[in-house]
Amino acid sequence: MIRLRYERGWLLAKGGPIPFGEYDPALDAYRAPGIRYRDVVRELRERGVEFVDEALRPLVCPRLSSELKLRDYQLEALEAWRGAGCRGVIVLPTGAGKTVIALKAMEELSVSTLVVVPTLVLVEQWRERIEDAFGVDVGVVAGGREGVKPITVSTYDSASIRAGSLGNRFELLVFDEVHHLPSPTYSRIALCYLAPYRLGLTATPERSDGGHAALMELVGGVVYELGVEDLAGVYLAPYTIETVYLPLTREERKRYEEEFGEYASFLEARGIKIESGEDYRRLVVRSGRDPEVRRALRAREKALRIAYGSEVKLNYLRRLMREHPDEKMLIFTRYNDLVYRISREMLIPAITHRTPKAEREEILDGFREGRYLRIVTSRVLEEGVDVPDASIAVIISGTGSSREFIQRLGRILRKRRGKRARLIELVSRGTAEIGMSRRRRG
Amino acid sequence: MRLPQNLLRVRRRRGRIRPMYAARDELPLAERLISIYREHVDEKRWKLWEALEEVELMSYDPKLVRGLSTILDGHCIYQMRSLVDPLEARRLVYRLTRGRGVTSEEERRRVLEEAAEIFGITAEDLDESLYADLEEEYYLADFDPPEPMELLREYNLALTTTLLIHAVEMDLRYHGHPDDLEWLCRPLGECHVEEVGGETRIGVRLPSRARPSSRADHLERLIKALISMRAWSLWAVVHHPPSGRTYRFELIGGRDGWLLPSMGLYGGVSPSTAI
Repeated sequence: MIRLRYERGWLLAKGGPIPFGEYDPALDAYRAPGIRYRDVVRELRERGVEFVDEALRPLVCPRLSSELKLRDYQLEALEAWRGAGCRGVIVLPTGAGKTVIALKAMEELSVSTLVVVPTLVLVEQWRERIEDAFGVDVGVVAGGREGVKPITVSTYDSASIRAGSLGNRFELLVFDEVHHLPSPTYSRIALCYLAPYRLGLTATPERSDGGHAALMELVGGVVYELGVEDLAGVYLAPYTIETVYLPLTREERKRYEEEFGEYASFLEARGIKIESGEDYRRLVVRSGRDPEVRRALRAREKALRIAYGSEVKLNYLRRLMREHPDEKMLIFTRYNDLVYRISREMLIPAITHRTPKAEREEILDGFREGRYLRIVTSRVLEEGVDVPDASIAVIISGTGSSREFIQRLGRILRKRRGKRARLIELVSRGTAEIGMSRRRRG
Repeated sequence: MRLPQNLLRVRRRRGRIRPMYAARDELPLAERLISIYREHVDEKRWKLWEALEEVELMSYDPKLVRGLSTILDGHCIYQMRSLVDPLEARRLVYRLTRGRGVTSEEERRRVLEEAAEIFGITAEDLDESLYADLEEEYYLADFDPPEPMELLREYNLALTTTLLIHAVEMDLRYHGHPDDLEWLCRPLGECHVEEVGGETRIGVRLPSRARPSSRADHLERLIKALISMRAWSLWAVVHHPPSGRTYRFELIGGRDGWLLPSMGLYGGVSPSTAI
């Protein structure tokens, strides 16, 4: 009798040879890369070989159900993927709704799933999307957080590092921006995990190093592909979203580390863990009685200010303004002090909750009529503020905004002369902790 | 003067409620805040705010610091200082950039110089004018400093007023004629007046729906008048919105009077002098 086990990215077989397996005398076992799991099991069955499978030990996933509806081309894409044995890459342009296809695939299979994404911002976005769609708790393995659940979202980095222990816990792998996968470190994920089902999503499968050929092996080939020209005007969201990660200047980085370090070392010294918005609120309540907490929170606030108002971001904004001298641009940040700083430094009309109604109307009219081509504001999304069309929106945030927020902002953008509007988010790199907690505080 | 509800500091125990009045041990804080205000005359308000924040970061109750500075703001005159109307200044510079803003320091300077010339002022003054109408850009023009103990007493009066905004019933007693205070109680609600051997008792039932701001004004006037009377006391049933419960509150002239502004300051309020 053959017994299959999983060990550190390898499928081990004791008691007899397996297809694709190599004999390893040190282990006295046959071993094959994790990715071969499905082929091995299938062949053993076909040949009628008796075996015990102790390798795949998936987390138990509840039956998923959602209200999600797919468009025709999304259904076709899902169909094509299913037809390829629930493996393969779907290529669709930005804004065509790749995520929703993945959610539908997860719903149909209802098996334990690991979603792998490139950035922490995307981790949060996927977590929100999945929780919204299915109403289940989603685990996160990323940025030092460690919460494995039947549906888990992870970064390429964390998924790769944790391949040894997580590789046999999931049946479906979803790779967002799958063109990242064929790098030496990340391809480990595809090679080590047993998951028989794999879905890759991307708008741009080509890699300059020719790595896209490797996608065939790692995820299954491209099973469905549409370009912008196939969808333009019909299905695409009227805007594209770009996230630009910018560093802090050396000086800003130094001050940021000092301030944030003061906050972090205070938490550590007191043994306080901030894992949720609730934890943070409790800390704020304590600040009323405890001057040390007040000082720590002030240091955090200062660090945040450095991150959101970085000179590098403002220079990037200046560059965008130069590159698009005649297009209407809406600049958004929720920090009033930054609104006024930009207004004063760049001589751009500002709207905050403090702007008198008459002046606000005057500025919005001016923008509508094209007398003003830029507005900087902290309150576009509030009731009663009717923001005119813009073809470019720039969001200056601490470390990333929620998906809902971006979509709401996106709705006020319009197509212009057949060109899609652009939504550009400027985020400071390497200041994730703050962003996470703020976002959850919502 | 009343405080925002979130600055109200109270102690609740066995059905009783009492504001955390500032007594002599807060005198050093009072002195410190008064001197901070004094040092910031002719400075922009945001500088004052920063100095006050420093105090909050020390071992004081931030609600107390903010409450006291709310009182001190009442002793201040804040003033916009700008050679031209800030809104006009903004309009002009936006127009001069043709609504595109500026993307370099030189470009900015050129626009400001051009605008300044139109107004006949310097570019620096124009730059300062652009947002001179923001609260934090106002100047602390004049400050009339109270004595430290008087500051605490005004604060305590404001705490009392703020607490009583949620009073359901009040019972006032004092040596004197009903005419002295009854007219001040009427605007607050239904009154029941009694006079027993030189002591006047006024019961007031306060309706639950009243505009807090107008009620605060009436309350403040009444309390100021009450504490200028002889042998006064005040009982009240007070609703405490955060807990959703009601509490008893008492203030007795002989015991608590020294915590509140002295009679002389507001004394002699009566129908004849008030009109």
